[in-house]
Formats: sequence, C-alpha cells, structure tokens
Amino acid sequence: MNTIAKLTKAVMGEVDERFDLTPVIEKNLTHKWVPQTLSWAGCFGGLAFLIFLIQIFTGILLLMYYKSDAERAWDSVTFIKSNVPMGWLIQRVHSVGANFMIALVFLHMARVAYLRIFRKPRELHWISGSVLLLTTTMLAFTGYLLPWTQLSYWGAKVGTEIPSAVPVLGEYIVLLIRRGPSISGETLGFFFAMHIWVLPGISILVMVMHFLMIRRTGISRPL
Amino acid sequence: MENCQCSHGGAAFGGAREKAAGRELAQPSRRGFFHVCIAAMTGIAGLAVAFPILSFLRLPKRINAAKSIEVPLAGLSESQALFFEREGTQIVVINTNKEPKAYDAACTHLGCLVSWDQNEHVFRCPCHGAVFDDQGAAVKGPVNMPLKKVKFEINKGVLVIT
Repeated sequence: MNTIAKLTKAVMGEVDERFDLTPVIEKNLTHKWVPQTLSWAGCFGGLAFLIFLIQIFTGILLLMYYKSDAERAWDSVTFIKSNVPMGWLIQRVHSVGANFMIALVFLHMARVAYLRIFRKPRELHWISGSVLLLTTTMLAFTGYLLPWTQLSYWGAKVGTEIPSAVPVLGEYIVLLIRRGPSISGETLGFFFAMHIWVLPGISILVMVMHFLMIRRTGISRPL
Repeated sequence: MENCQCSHGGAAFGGAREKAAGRELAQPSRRGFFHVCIAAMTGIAGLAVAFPILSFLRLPKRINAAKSIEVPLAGLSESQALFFEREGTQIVVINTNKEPKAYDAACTHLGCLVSWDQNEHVFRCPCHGAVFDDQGAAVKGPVNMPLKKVKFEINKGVLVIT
C-alpha cells in the first residue's frame, strides 16, 4: 500500500469501509499505468484539461465582481484589477490561461494528427475533439468581449462579421449573433450567457465523452 | 549502506526496523528522502495557489468610504423623513415640531428597517408591527427599547452627521 492509499485510509477510513473507494482510486490514479513508450508530448490534452479547470475556478472568482452590463462592465473589471485583493492576478490568470488553453489544444491535435492516432478505433475521439476545439475557441472569443474595452469591442465586431461570408443566410446569422445591427449591450449579455453557461456546459459534456472513450480504447501506443 | 528495503513511503527517514536493530542514528532511505522532498514541494505549490485565492476572498478596497451626511433643514418638511446609508447602518432624519432628530432606522426588536408614516408621524416596523413615535419611543408592539439616537450637529441650518 503506498502513501496516497494510506492517506486515503487515514482520512476517510469509515467512509471507505462503506463506499469501498480504495480500489477505485488504485485503478484510476495510483495503480494506473501508461505505455512506457509514451513521451511527454502525450501530456498536452491533460494539460489543456487542467487549464480548463483553472479557467472554471478563476472564472467563478471573477463572477463575484463582474457585471455583464455595458454601462458597468469595464468599471467592474477595473475594480477587480485595482481594488480586489489579488484581483489583478486572478484576472490575468484567466485571460492568459485562455491563450495557453488554445495553444495546448492545438499542440494536442497536431500530435494526434502527426502520429495518426485518429484512425480506427479512435475516429470519434477526433470528432469529439474537434467539437472541443470549436467550444474552446468560442469560449475565448466570447470571453474576449466581456471586459468591454476598445480592443474587445472591435475584436467582437470583426469576429462577428465572419459568418457574413455564408451564402444567402450570412447577413442574418451576423444579426442573430450580434443580437442586433451593431455590437451593443445585448451582444454583451448574449456573449456572457454563452461564456458562463452554454459553452462550458457543452464542453464538459463532450469532455466526459472524450475521456470515457479514451478509457475504453486505451492510449494509442506509438510505433 | 546495507541492503535497505524500506522502499515504502510510510516512515520518511529510516524505519522502525532499523531502530529495533539498535542503531543510534536512523539511516535515511533514498526513497523516503524523495517522499519528503515531493511532499514539501507540493505543500509550497499548494500554498502558492491558496494564497491568491484566499486573498481574493478578502474585502475589496472601497474608494468612496463613509462621507458625512448633510441635510439642509429648510428643505425638510414636517411630514418628511429622509433615509441615508452609512457604513452598513440606515439613518433616518425627521424634522417634526421644528426639532430635527436622527435615528438608527433599525428596529430595536430584531433589526428590520422601520418606515415613516407621514400621516400619523410614527415609525412602523414591517416585520412584527412595532410602532415608535417621533421621539423614538416605543409605543406599540413587541419592543420596549426606543430607537437608537444618532449624534448630529446643526451648522447654519444644515444638519451634519459626521
């Protein structure tokens, strides 16, 4: 029995007696083996997930002070950065973390593509991963507008213009995602709802699927 | 070093076996040493994460701290009452019988905020029906203590609460 298992026993012996958690922890954590040939590059996906957890945690902290109102959004972010203890750090971790998460998702996908790990029986891993790439970029894009700065305003303007290239429906899609003809308080409210509830919710669902499939097929062994 | 097999992490330095063998100094095992190092580094990393998070939960600095309340008495009629918030307490100012008064608007029963009845010139508590007259004395309801008076000064016809 190793240290972690001992600690678990000491901390929750009574609970463990009833729920029998030790085998679960051993199977998934302390006695879980990965292929010896797996290099450090196999960590990108896990690191992206770690940053996702950090984003959720710092996001909840920022929500305590952020106001999704065009009149007050910028002021509330400034308040977080200058008046809340360590607020500048939490805000910076959240915004820099978004960049890191996108970089790690791309590195993860580049490795999987280069080593051709997406082949049978792992096609659905790649497809669900592509959905996660989409939700991650959408999370970053919607979050970018929330501080309501010049940069985020014009970023949202340029970004929401992209669907106008779609034939016939393009202009209408732009109106729909802007919630009106221009970027306004309604756009901010819509992006906020997407950023806080919808996109993280979809991400978590697809992630659970992604991870369960990996447990089922196992990690691909490099040749 | 002898063939030490205490490779488990339980006893960090040395082991009970070595002490039982009558050694003066317990021989630290390599693995035990690394266990301590890893635990220490994990602890330091944990503190580095916990510190900003716990700091974030502290109260933020407010720029607009308590300012003094100023009420020009000429503009305050007999039937009127003005409410102000100051450092978490609600203060009510009235001017009945040409005599300005300021009270802590929290009912002395359970702390609900009293409202001013401008027809009968009494304070009424919405929670349990306590009634206070314009002198702050309890008239009716489940309470005997009068409303708490708030100190003020009158400076050239302006009531000032500092």
